[in-house]
Amino acid sequence: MRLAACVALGTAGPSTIATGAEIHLRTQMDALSGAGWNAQDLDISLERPASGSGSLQLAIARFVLPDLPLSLEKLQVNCPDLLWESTQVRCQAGTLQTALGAQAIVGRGEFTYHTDSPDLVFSLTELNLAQGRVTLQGHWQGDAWQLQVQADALTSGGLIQLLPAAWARQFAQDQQAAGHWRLAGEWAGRGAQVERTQLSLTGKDLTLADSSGRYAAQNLNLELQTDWRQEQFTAQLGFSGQLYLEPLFLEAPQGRAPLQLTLRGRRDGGRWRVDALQLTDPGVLQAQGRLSFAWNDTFVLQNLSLELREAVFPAFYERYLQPFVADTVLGDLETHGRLAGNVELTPDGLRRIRIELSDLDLDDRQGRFGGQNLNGEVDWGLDDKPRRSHLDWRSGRLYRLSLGAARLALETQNDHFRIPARTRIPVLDGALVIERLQGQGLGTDDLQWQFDGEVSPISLEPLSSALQWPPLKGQISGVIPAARYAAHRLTVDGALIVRLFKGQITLNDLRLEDPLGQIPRTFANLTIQNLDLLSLTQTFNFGKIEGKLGGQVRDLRLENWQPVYFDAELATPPGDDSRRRISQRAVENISALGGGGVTEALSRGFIGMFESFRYKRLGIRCRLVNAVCEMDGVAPAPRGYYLVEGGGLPRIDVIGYTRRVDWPELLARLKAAAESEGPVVK
Amino acid sequence: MSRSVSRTFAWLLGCLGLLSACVTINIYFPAAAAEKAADQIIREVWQEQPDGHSAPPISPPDQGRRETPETNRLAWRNGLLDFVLPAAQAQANINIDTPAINQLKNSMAQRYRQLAPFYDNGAVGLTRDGLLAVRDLNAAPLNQRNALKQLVNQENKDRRALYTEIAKANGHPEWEGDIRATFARQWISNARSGWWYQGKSGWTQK
Repeated sequence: MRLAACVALGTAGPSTIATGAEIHLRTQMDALSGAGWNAQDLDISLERPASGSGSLQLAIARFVLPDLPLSLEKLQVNCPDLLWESTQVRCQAGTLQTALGAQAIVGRGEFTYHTDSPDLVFSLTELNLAQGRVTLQGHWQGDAWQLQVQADALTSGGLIQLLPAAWARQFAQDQQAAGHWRLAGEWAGRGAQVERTQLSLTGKDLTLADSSGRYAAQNLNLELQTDWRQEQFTAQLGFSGQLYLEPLFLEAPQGRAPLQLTLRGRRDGGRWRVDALQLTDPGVLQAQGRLSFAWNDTFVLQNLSLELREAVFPAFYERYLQPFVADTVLGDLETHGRLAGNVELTPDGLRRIRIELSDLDLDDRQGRFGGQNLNGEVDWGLDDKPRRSHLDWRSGRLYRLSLGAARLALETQNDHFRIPARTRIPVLDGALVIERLQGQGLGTDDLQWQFDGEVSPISLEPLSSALQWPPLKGQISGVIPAARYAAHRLTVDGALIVRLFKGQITLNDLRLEDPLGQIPRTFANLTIQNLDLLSLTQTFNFGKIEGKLGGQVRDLRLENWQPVYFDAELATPPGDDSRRRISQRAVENISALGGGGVTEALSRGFIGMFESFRYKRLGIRCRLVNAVCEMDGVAPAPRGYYLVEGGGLPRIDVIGYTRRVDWPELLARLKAAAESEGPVVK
Repeated sequence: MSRSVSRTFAWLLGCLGLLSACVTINIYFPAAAAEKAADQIIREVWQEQPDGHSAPPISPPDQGRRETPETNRLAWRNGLLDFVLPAAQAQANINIDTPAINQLKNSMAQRYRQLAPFYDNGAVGLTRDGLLAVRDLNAAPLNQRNALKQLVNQENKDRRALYTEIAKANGHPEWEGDIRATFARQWISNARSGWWYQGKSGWTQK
C-alpha cells in the first residue's frame, strides 16, 4: 500500500488501536492504491470514545479495479455501532452505498477485525445488483485472502447496464436482452495473486445478441463450472437452446440432453493449452482431443487435434462442415450417413485427416454431382509420408449422367496423389476407364491432375434421354491419350468417336472450363462423316431424306451446355454415290421452318402428286454468332443460296434468301417440325 | 528548311493520327438500352408483375429481331421453292440473351425466393456498386445466419459474372464498369418500398 498524495490528520491523537485508548481519527487522501485497485478522494473517520461503541465512516469518491474493469462511484461504508473488544473490533450493522454505472447499490454488512492474528472477516448481504441479490464474504489474514460471492436472479439487461459503456455498446441496442443468471464463486489468493478460482455460473432463458449479429443466443440455458488453480484450469460447459458463434450455429433442443464441452488445460500468458477436450453434441458428434490457441483480444487457433468418435449426417455437415466450405463446390449438399476418424487443424488449415466413411450419401443441391453409399477410408497428411486411401460407392452422378458402382484407390503424399491401378467407372451402359491418374495441389486452390484412359462404348439411347435430347441410336467411345486438369480447365487430347446414324462424329480438341462452376464452358471441333440421312430424318420425324451427310463443326463453344458459337458446314459428301431422294414431307418441314404457308400450294399443285424427289446435293452452312446464324447453302442461287439442289424431273430446288437467321427461333421451329404429325394431304 | 517543314508536317500527321485513333476507340455506351436491359433482368430476377408497378411493361426478349410478315412466307414460282427464314435484324439493343446470361438470371431468380424475406426485413440491402450486402445480421433468425451469408456471397458472384457476361455478349468487355453502374442504379430504382439501399449517407430505407 502506498500513499499517493497528502495525508491530513483532522484531529490530534494516536493512529494505533491500543486497548483502552480513546481515538478520534479523520484522514483525507487524494488517492490510495494497492495491487489491482485504486481509490480516489478518500475520507475516513474513526471514533472510539472512552466508553460505549464507536463508529466508522468511509467515503471514497471512486474505487476502481482496472483489470476487470470495474469502477464504483461514491462508495460509502457506514458503521454506526463499532464494538471495541479486547482483541477484536466488530461492526455488526453496517451499511454500504455505492453506484455502479447508473445503478445505485445498497446493502448491509458486517466485519470483524482480530487484532492479534491479525485478520479481517467481512460479509456484505442483500446487495441489489442487476435486479438480483448478491452476497459477498471475505477473509483476509496477512497476505492471504478468500472471497466468496453468491449472486442470484441477476438479469441479462441489468448486467449489461453495469458494464463499462464501451463493452455495453457491443450488445445489440434494438434487441431486448433477456434471461436470468446465478453465480456462485470462490476466489483465494495472496496479495494481488489469485491462486484459486471456483465458479459455477447458471443462465436461464438467455436471449442475447451482439450488435454485429455475429454472436447471439436464444432461449439458452447454460451451466458452466470452472476451477482454476494457479494457471491450471478445468471447465465444464453444458447448454441447451440456440447459440450462434460465427460461423457456428449450435443447437440442443430444450428438455433434451444438453450439448456439453469439457476442457482441462493450462494457461501460459496469452497462450492456452487444452490437454483434454471433450465435446458431446447429442446425436450429432462425439469428439475428444487437444487444442491450443492464443487469446489477445481475438481467438487465434494454433492447433486442434480431434478424434471424431461418431459424426452423424446431415447435422454434422450442417453444423461443423458447411460453415467452412460454404463458398466452395461442397457448400450446398444434401447428406446422410456417418463418419469417424481423426483430424488435425492448424492456422493454415487441415494438416492431417484420417476418416472412415460409412454409407455416406452426398448430393449437390444444384444437381451437379452426387454419390450414394460412399464407404472407405481417407488418409491424408501434409507431411511426406505416403498414405493410401480407398473409396467405393454404389452409385453416383455427374450432372445428369449416372455412374455405376466403383472402387477407387488413391495414394497420396503431401499434396500429390495418384491412382495406383486401372479403375473402371461405369457410366450408363459403358464406362470411363482410367489407366493412370496423377496430380497435385490437394487441399489447395490450385488442384491439377492428368489422366489417360478410354471411354468404353456408351449407348446414345440412355445418354440422349439422360441429357434430355431427342432419342438417338448409336454409341460414343474413344481413347484418351491424355487429359489434363489445371486452373479449373480440363483439356482432352485424342479423339472421342460418336458412332451414330451409320456414320460417325469425331470430337477433337475437347476442352472444359470450370466444369462444376457457375457457367461451365465447353470447346470442341467436330468432324462429321457419312451420316445416313434416312435414319437421321426418321429419328427426328422430319419426313424422309435419303442420302449421306458429312462436314465439320469448327470452334464449337458451349456456355452452360448451350451453343454460343460454331462454324458448321454440312453437305452431301463429294463423290457420294448413294441414292438421294427427299420426301414431300421433308420439303414441307423445311418450308415450315420459314413459317408455313406453302403446304396447301404444294399439296394441290402438280408437284403435290409426287411422294418424293431426286436431288443432286443438299447442304447447309451456319456460323453462329451472337445468337444469329449466318446462313449459306451448297451453292449460290440467284439472290440466295441452294439448300437443296434438285436433280431429274420433276425438279425441286429449295433456295434460301435470308443470310441472317435468329438461332433460338430456328431451334424452336426445328423442334416444332419434329413434333408435328405432318401436314394432312387431301 | 524544307526538311524541317516536312518534319513538322510528319509530326503533325502523327499527332492527327493519334488524335483520330483516340476518336475511333471512344465507343458510345448505349446507356438507355443498357438501362432497359437491366430493368428487364431485374424484374425477371425479382419476379415482378409488370402491372402494379409504375415502370413500363416488360418487352419480349426477342423483340429486337422479329421477322416481318413479308419475309415470313414461302414463295412458289415456276417450280422453285423459296426457302425463307425469319431474318435477324441488326441489333440496336443491348443483347442479354445468351446461355450464360440466362443461366445467371435463372440462378438469381431461384435464389430470390430464399432472399425475399431478408430484403423485406432489412437483413440485406443493395449496395452502391451493384451488389448485395448483409446489412443487419440480427434481423435473421440464428439458424439462418450462415445460409443468409452464403446466399449473399453466391448472389454477388452471380452479379459480378452477369455484368462481365453482358459486356462480353455485346462485344465490349470494357463496358463492364458502365453495365455495373447501370445495374447499381436500376436495382435501387426497382427496389420495393421498405427495402434498404446504400445512399450517399449510408443505409437508407426506400
